Amino acid sequence: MPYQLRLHSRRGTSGITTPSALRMSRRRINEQLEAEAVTLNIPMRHLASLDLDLHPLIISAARKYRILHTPVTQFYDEMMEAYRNLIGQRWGAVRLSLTNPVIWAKDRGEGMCVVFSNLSMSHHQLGSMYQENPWYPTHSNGVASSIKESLECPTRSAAWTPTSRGLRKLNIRRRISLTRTLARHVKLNGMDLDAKTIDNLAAKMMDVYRPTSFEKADSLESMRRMYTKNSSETPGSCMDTTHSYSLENGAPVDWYAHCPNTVGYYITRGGTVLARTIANLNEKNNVWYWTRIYYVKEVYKTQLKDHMNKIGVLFADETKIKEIQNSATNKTFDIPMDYNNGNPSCPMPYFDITPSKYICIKVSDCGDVIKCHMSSGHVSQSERPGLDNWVVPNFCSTNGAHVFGEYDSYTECTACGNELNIDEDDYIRLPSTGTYCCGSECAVDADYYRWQTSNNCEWHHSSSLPNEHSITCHSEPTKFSNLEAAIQSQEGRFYYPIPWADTEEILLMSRWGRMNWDTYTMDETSYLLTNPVTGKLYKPHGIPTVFPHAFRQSIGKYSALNENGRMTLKFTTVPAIHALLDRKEVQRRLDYSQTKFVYVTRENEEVDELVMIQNLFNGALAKFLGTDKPTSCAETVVGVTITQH
Amino acid sequence: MFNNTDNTILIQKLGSSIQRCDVTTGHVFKYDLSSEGYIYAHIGTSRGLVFSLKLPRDTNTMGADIIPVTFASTPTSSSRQQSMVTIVGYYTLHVQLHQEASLCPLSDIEPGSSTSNKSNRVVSLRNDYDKDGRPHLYFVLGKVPERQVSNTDNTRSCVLARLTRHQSRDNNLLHVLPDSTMVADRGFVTVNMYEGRE
Repeated sequence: MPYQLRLHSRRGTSGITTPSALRMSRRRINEQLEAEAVTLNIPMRHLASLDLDLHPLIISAARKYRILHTPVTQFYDEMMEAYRNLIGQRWGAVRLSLTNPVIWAKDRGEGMCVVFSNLSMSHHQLGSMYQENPWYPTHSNGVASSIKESLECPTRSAAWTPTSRGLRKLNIRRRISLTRTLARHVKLNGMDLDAKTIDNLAAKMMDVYRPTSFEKADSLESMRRMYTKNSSETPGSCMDTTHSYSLENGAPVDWYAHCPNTVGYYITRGGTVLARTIANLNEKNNVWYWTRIYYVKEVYKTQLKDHMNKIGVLFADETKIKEIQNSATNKTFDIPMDYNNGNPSCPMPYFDITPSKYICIKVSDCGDVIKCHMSSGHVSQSERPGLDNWVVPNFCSTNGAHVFGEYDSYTECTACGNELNIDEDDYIRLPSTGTYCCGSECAVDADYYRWQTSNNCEWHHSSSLPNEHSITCHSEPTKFSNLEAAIQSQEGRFYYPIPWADTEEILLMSRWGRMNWDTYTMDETSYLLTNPVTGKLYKPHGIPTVFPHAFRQSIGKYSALNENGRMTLKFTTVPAIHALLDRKEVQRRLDYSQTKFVYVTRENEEVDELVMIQNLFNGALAKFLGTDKPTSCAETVVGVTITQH
Repeated sequence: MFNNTDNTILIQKLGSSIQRCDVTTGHVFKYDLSSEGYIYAHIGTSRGLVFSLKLPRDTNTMGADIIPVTFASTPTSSSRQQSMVTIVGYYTLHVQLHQEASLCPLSDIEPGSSTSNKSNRVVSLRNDYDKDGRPHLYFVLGKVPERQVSNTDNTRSCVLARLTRHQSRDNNLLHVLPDSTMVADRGFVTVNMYEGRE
């Protein structure tokens, strides 16, 4: 039988629902219904009994839904993915629905679809469509009702009879364009899509069927395009367009476009970047080399590598990277002046590798252009034009720009206003404004934090730091960009306020904080630790851990060796019974505890308190406790049970 | 749960989502994040630390076996106190009293001490009893520093959870005593954790 379906559930496939079994179950329901009608003294004509036989057209309709499940789901998933990319919403509900089954036509690359106009979609969840059952229809419910009503009507039944005509009618399909399909057969929150959304959504869906292209980014526009992330298929990085930078005119990656020794290569499809890399020129052999490809799917990485191989762009290993940096000849190029929060700045990306060993920048004499000088020799040895005001920017910064700030030897602390001599005094430079602070205390007063990544640390204002994934250190002004950065940088110290107790969250301190902020409070030891939140082991080797200094003499009591000879923390434990109960039962017990104040049980009721008091020891105990009832106890609080043995 | 007076008992509804800092003593909860691997039983706050009991989330003993649960302490200043948690159950403490109590300094029976291998001791204090002359009971948690920011040589204090009703209006369950305090070792405690699931 075509609708002889297996019953699938999480527990497995349990059985087969044959027509005879389903007919029998319906018959039983009808018998129960008739019995109820007799009991309640209601005429049976007022109750609707279930049909024991199905019309062949209803069975055929259900079969069509089962067959269409896979292609309709494919069309729907592609439409959802395109719509999510269009609105930039990767998670959460998107209420797009189909009014009729829609599948791609054979020539879908040309944007043609097939719509089954006489089959309606009664249910928006497509997951169960593959087991559509005519006896208990979900997706074909509307069609089945319509057929049933039409067949009962003397005039409308002509459209469905004889059965061959009805089958042909069910099978009617219309080949129409994608935009027309979206306009007529797709709803968003139950409403039609507007014209602009239809055009954009159709274009996005068709992008998938366009061939990929290999592009070179050697201009400002193409470089910015290469770092534009508008799809989940585009690889992310700290320099892509999902991160906001305070540059007024450009983007950090503009630097690559201006530098004569760097160029970008990427794979794109319909405006969506799928893989990208930056290539650096090796002036020794005049060959371009790439070092790291950013990608989401391996296939695009392979494509990009193949394309670059064809044009002679090769992979650079550590040796080749050094050769690239050491063979760069002295050259100076211009970068248009930009402004970061109103301060003169040079766009500056985060560098995986720099194209030369030394790079320094300065504002030109005319003031509207930044001179960038690169060389393989030290700044003082290179033949750069002029010697004044050149600065070496931070190549590991994720600030997006080098803010020039103040040049003078004498400046003021941003927080306290004290005069600073840049050449002689200790100071902290604030990279986002180019200003200075006397020290960490002043920086903290101005609401700045140390922002520690895996290979860089800078002071940034708290308002500019992301909260997602970042971890603020305990009792000191350091934030780690994520847990991995804390471990990789070897700056993170895991903090336990009490060594005999685990923690409910990851508590961190920094190496800097331990040495410069509150050195006298912490002692440090290396332990094999598990993540206190997830319970997963951090690393197979020790991680620096700090405790309050007060435990320095007793820390050995709270340490233990594991079976591999690694030192671990030994937390105090309490024996417990953990019972999983029905939720309603637990709530009932909780409510009961609220009314009944205390539970007290005594297993050893025969113990005579008076006899015990006469005991010499208990006499001493009574004297110590100051009461004549030393073996009893006060009334317990709720939740405490007493037994005596 | 575990409050001194009837009118301060606050029973939270099972399944309700509240901030961590609003969880009251006696409740079992879990954090509303998918990556969490533990459930917790809130005890109380003392010396700027929030004490709780911690149990792996996937523990499924159905009440048959006795399992060890660890203590957890987190600073009250932690941002985690503002995280949302879901109440999943409650816990009770079962005190088993010795036939004969023994007298000793607190430092001898606190967990980790050289003379004690138990970490779940219940004690009574000198001249500390209710209006009927019945001694109060305290559950010994462990050592705490004199102050969190301290340059002293060693820990001298111990944190205890009071298990009996007190006449005073002090609702704080946790108390800190010098570890040289003489106490009567009265018995030990086990924890019963009840988690409700659908």
